[in-house]
Amino acid sequence: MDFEWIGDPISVNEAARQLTSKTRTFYKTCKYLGTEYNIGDHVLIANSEADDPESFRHCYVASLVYMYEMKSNKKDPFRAQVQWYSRVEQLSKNLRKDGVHPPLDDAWELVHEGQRYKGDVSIETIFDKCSVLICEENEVPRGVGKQKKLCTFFCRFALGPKNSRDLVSVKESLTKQLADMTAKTLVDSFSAINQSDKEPTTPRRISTRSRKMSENDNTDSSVHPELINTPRSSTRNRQPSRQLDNGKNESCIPSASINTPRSSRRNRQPLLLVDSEDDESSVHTGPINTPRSSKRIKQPPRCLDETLPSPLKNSTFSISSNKTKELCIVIQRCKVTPNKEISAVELDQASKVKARKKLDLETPVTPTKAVEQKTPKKPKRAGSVTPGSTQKKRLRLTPAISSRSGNLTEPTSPLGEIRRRLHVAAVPQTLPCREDEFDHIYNYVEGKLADGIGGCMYISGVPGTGKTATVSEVIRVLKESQTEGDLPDFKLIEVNGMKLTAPQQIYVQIWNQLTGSKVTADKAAKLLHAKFSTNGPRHRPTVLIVDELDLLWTRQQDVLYNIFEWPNRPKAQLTVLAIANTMDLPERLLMNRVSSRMGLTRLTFQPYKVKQLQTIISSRLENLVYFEPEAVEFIARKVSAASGDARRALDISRRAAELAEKGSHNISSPTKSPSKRGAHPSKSTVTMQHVQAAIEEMFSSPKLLAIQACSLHEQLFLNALVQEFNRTGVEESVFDQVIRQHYTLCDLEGMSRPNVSELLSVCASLCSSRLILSEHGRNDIRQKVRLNIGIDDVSYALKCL
Amino acid sequence: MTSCTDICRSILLERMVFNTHSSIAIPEDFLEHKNYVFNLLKSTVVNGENNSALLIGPRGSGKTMLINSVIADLEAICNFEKDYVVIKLHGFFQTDDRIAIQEITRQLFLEEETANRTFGSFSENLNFLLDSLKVADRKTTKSIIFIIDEFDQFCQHKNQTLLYNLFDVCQSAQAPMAVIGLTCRMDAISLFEKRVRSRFSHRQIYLLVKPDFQKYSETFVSLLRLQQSRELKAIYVRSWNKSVEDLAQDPLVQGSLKKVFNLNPKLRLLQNILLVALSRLGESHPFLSSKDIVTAIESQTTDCKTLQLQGLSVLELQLLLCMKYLDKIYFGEPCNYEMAFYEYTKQMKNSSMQKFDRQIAMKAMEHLETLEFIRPVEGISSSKVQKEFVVYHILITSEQLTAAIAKYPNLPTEVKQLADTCL
Repeated sequence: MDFEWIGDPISVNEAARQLTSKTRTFYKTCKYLGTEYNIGDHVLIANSEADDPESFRHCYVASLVYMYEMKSNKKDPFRAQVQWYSRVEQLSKNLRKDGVHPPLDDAWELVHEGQRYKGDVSIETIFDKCSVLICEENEVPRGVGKQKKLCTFFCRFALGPKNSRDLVSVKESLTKQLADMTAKTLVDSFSAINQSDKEPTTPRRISTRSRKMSENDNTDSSVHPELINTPRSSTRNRQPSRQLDNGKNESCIPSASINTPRSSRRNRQPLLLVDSEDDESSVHTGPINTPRSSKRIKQPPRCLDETLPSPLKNSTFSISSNKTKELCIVIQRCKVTPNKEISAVELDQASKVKARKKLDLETPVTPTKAVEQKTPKKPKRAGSVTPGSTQKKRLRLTPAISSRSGNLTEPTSPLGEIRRRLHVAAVPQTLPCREDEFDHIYNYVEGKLADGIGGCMYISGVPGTGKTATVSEVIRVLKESQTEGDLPDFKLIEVNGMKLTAPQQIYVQIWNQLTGSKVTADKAAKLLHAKFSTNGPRHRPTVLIVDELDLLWTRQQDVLYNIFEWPNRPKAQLTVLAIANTMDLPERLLMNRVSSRMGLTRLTFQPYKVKQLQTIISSRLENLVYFEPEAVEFIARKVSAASGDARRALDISRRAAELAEKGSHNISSPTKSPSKRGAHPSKSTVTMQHVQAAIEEMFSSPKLLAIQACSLHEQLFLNALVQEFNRTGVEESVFDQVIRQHYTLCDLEGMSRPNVSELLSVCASLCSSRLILSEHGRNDIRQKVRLNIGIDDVSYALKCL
Repeated sequence: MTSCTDICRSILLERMVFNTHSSIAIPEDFLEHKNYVFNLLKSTVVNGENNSALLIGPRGSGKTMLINSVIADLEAICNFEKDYVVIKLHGFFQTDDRIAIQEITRQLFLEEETANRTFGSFSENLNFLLDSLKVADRKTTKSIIFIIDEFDQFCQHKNQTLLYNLFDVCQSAQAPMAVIGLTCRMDAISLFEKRVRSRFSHRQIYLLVKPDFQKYSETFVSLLRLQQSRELKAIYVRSWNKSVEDLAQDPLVQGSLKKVFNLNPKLRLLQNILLVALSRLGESHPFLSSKDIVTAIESQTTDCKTLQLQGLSVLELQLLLCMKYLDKIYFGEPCNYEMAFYEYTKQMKNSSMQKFDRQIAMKAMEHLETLEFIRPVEGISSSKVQKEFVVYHILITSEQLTAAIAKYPNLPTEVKQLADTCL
């Protein structure tokens, strides 16, 4: 390996030494792959979760706090302690301050991380140097970007100390620390790092990818002032419009540089125009561009506001927090014909035509084509996001449902309250009767998380026994204790087999929840393999919940194999909770190699017993006495005898409450005073009768009624089928034989015989309600028919007439 | 100047075709069911409660009508535009989940928002829809009412993904919605997969009512009765209504109606019959006669095979008779061309009628097959067997043959005699 320490081991502060084990030797400088790294340098660290770990769009940025060699760690002896910086896009949404002026820049702005993550990484993951400018809050530094293969970032904010919920000026909080990285601060940060485990984290998302940056041999780490204003060497990613801005119109720099990076293909239209214009028009890049960033920029740059054509001003800056409106804005924006804007800038005719032509090219249906067409002139920021992925993201509608105007009214009557509480959707405070299972799962997951290892658990049970509810409860409690700092931070991924269109889609879902980006199934599988077999920096333990596991079954069983293979990898730190209905799924359905990986940690949810169902219902009814205890017990007994499905029990009790309410309503309706109903709540108690009625309604199949609702000939036909069965003793009979019987019956009844067409329609109508089953109609009178109900039912129903 | 008869005719015809008559409202027996469904949907719209229910009833029992009237009532009390969305799906239109989900998205997110985008893959659509339903806040979003016609068709879809997800949303605290399924299958619940069944609330509403001839004839009258209106002279309306009531009392009409009623008491058939009868009205024929009704009923209920048989040639009829005879003596065993032709020549031995040779008889046989009077027995591939030996089942009953022969014009007496011996 191309690695060597430079210089002698240095001594570190006594306090730091005590915190670490004694086998570590600290150094000041090292050389790795031809690059020298010193303590205090800013470095780029590969991001194993991204498609392209070493692209400077996705890699992590950190500063070296100290470096050491750990002899005891045979595999990875050269390690470093770093202080992380985060990209703006990696921050959680509420952290992205809207009011910041100038706004946060996605491409090159960093945020000092504070102590959210462990800073211990392997030096091998470091692949390049970079520089970070520490700026004032409202200062926009020049010279950021990529110059001579050296990336320069800037940093204005740091995460606040309080649970990292706020941004504070980086200068205020960190000037000292960043100014001199001495051993003293080293200790500070070190002790801080130890605390850091307890800090909660917002999920990090690395959603975009980009072209790979070439390996950098440049060891020059300082930023030369003269570099800033000179036209930069044109790498492929250079952005022409910015060059233009920089060179000719200084006043534009802030707005342009801030607005451009996020621009998607669609919104790039105006920008493209600018490329072909002379510098006068570049003044307008800002306003044309701003709508795009309207989400984040609340106030448009003041100087540009004045130059805006007024219709544009009105239309584009109507910003609303309402999601649907946001949607509309996006759509509006893409529909706006840019001609107006062009004329506003007073173009000469020729360039106008030219621009329009370009625009026509610009609005194609397929995004990929567009990219190809305009690659050379793309006003892309250096190293900006690969168009494909951004494009997709922008195209995606925000999932939302339009909101209602009126407010919901909550039921006021006590029985209404009962119904609300008994609804399956009402989330109870606690999950009664599943304490053991809860403990089991909790201890298992907690143990795995605490030990930093992986594992998987198979949870089975018939529907409605609280599997998913218990697991989500476990996760909720785990999240809580993680917030309190008892557990390491973990990432939760939930997938449901029923919500996938194909088993392979699970990869896409997992990857999407892990990183927020969308890829194809094959690609996702590959990425996940890579992720779970390496232990990259900032790697967090993952808990994967797979609901309705049996639907992931494929002939090759590759999906199931992978799901159970990953937790067994040493570096994955993945805990899988697989939920399914059948207890013996591993034995019955799975190949040996899959069930072996699944392991033997199983948990079966038994169907609820009478007592448990009783507790479940009454726990929801607490304080409300309008439900007779006998009624509750009756429900519990009925359900536990049939399925032990808690949903059923709740549905029955809810329906019973409804019936009781209706009953009380009927009593009070003659008096026609709804207020009186509330005055006599004692009348609206759910009793055995109501429960009985509800059960009858839900489970009885009214076959008798259905037969009695048939027309006369339909009944005769059923009768004829019975007769035919009695004659032959075979359940299945041929239609023309049944006709014979039917005619005999008609003669007996003294009725006129219907013709064959009529009888065929009678047969079809009976078949449509599935009282009888019949073959396909093309067999005409040779079709076979049979009863779908008991012969006794038919005779009984017909006798009752 | 259009006459009263014309106006009357157009009013009534419209009524038959578009179900626009006020008397075609919910039958009294279903009022309770209607209230049930109405309250269910109301609690979804007003209280944001999640519900699911199945409306089960035989074809023509008024399921769609009931739900439509519930929606109409709901519209009256709620603000349709602002408070809820109705999404209608049909099992025969949305034949798989992919189409169904696109349709839901289309109806849910209104066309202008999705107009310009091509729909992504099935999984993207599904995830998008699920995400939408998930992020929806119970308190602030519109209630969604799913009305799924021919519900049983959705149970055939792969994994019942759509049903699972709809019911799953229904029974978890996501977007407020109600799922109402309409089906004519009595055993609809047993079609659910166990997970889906567990999530379904088991509310089943059966629309079953015993047929009643009294009510049937009342409906007959009310369908035809005219209301006083500006366009029509009062005297005409009165005389028309009088004629209708007389018509209902006519024993001939009563008998025919009773016959129809015994077969199929559904409103739709009655409307079709009246549609035929009403279209005969004109200047020269201002009122419905009992004959109109009877012929209309006949036109709706005649046996199609008998009609078709009357168009056959004598030879074809003879062949059919032979095959029917063979069918009878061999107790329903199928027969082939050779057997039928042998029987034919045997009967024609002493006949004065023209005898046809094999090829012509073969052609006649093929014609019978294309008309589906006879049908090759399934399971034996006809390509391997010589044409002459392909075995056929005869798909005509002796009643149909007798009826056709009785009506056949200028049939040789010999064939008639043959028919008497054969059947």
